Amino acid sequence: MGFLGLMIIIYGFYSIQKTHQAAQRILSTEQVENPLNMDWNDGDIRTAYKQNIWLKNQLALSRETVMSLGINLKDSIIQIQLNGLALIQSPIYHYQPENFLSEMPAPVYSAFFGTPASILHEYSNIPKRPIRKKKVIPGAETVEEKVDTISPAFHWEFMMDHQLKVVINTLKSVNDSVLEAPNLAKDKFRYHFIQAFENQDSLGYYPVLFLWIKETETKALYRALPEHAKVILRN
Amino acid sequence: MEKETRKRTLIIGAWTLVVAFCFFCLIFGFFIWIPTIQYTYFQKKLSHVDAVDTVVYPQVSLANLKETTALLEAKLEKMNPVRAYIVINTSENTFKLFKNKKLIRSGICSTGSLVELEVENEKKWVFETPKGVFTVKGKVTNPVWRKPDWAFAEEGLPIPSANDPSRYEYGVLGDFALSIGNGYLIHGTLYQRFLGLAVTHGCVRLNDADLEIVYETLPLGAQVFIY
Repeated sequence: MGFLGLMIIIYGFYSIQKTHQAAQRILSTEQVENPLNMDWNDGDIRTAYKQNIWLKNQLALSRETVMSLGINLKDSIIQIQLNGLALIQSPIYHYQPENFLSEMPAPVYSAFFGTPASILHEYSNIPKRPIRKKKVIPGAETVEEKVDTISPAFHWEFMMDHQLKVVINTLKSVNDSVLEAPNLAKDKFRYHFIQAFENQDSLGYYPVLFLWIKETETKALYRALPEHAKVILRN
Repeated sequence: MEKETRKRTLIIGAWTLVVAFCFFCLIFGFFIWIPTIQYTYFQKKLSHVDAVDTVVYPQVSLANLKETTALLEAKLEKMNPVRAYIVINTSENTFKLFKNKKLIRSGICSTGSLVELEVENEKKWVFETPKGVFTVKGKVTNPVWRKPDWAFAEEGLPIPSANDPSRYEYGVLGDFALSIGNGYLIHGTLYQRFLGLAVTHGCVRLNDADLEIVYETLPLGAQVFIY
């Protein structure tokens, strides 16, 4: 027990050191803008500035010819946009940490959220294009791949190029109007548990945003996005 | 003697519970508390940024920001389609029809089955509804289906020549069809019971009533968004 406790303490210190390095890396990057000459303590100015960044990013993405993802934590909406039009807007039922990265001054907010990010790599337990193979041999019986009708709860996570990770957990519908209650602690515990043993970079720190969204809508979002899609975020 | 044994068993049991509880707390701490501490520290570290004495920027006021917001919102608004458009969801096989920026019709449809057809280990077709933004390139009433090669291959039949009469089938595409290019159509179907399922060879199928409204609402050049 004592040995295990010691291991935890050493790991804790090592984790804090990795976190410190990650924070230093962000603080040393060139700022997108340097809007220091505003009263960032004024809540209205902060909200208006963040809204401007959100709209600028949407306009930047509207010039692209592929779909992109928008995560608006302020209004609890996740959306797919194309040509400036939001094709899907789904509610985010829960997200954690609450007030995600909200305590950061304007230059750091600009560096993190000032421009659209790209998905570096993503993981999901369903295929983006669930192709089924069918073979036709003239004179013989057609062979078609069987589809597994029991599907696990859909899970999707992706890492963006500004070292921020999003983990999307899904909520199944109990009936037409009711969703299952999420188990926030269990989902987060499962994520960190798997990360610790499977992810080779598990000892490097990056902030993780957990979202809980309806399963059918999440599948539509996931399958709509191309590989390495662009993402914009607003907190 | 018996009393002693029972007492020892109770003590061992209690200690086992305590150890198990401590072990559980440690494991929980490892995978929940440490990430939480990391995040809190990370946020605190980022929130303490010293102001850099460089160029003095003009004062940014709330009024400036609100003016910029209004300009940006107007620009975004201009990008939205002015005329009617349709949005098709291939994951849930549903559609939404918009006119004057208002939703006027929604319902179920059928889209590509995502089947990869392989014939004689040579030819391959993937039956997928393409994703992206398209425009209505043509509109036809009482469309005639010109069967492509895969329609014969799928049945194990020999593929006829380009203008063979067997290529033409009447009455299977419903009363109307809208072309979005590359051979993909929005059309009707005889198989109404399959609407809401991914069963087509790439086209989008609607029921008769929805198809008529869509046909009448979308002009040539109208945008078709598919995701």
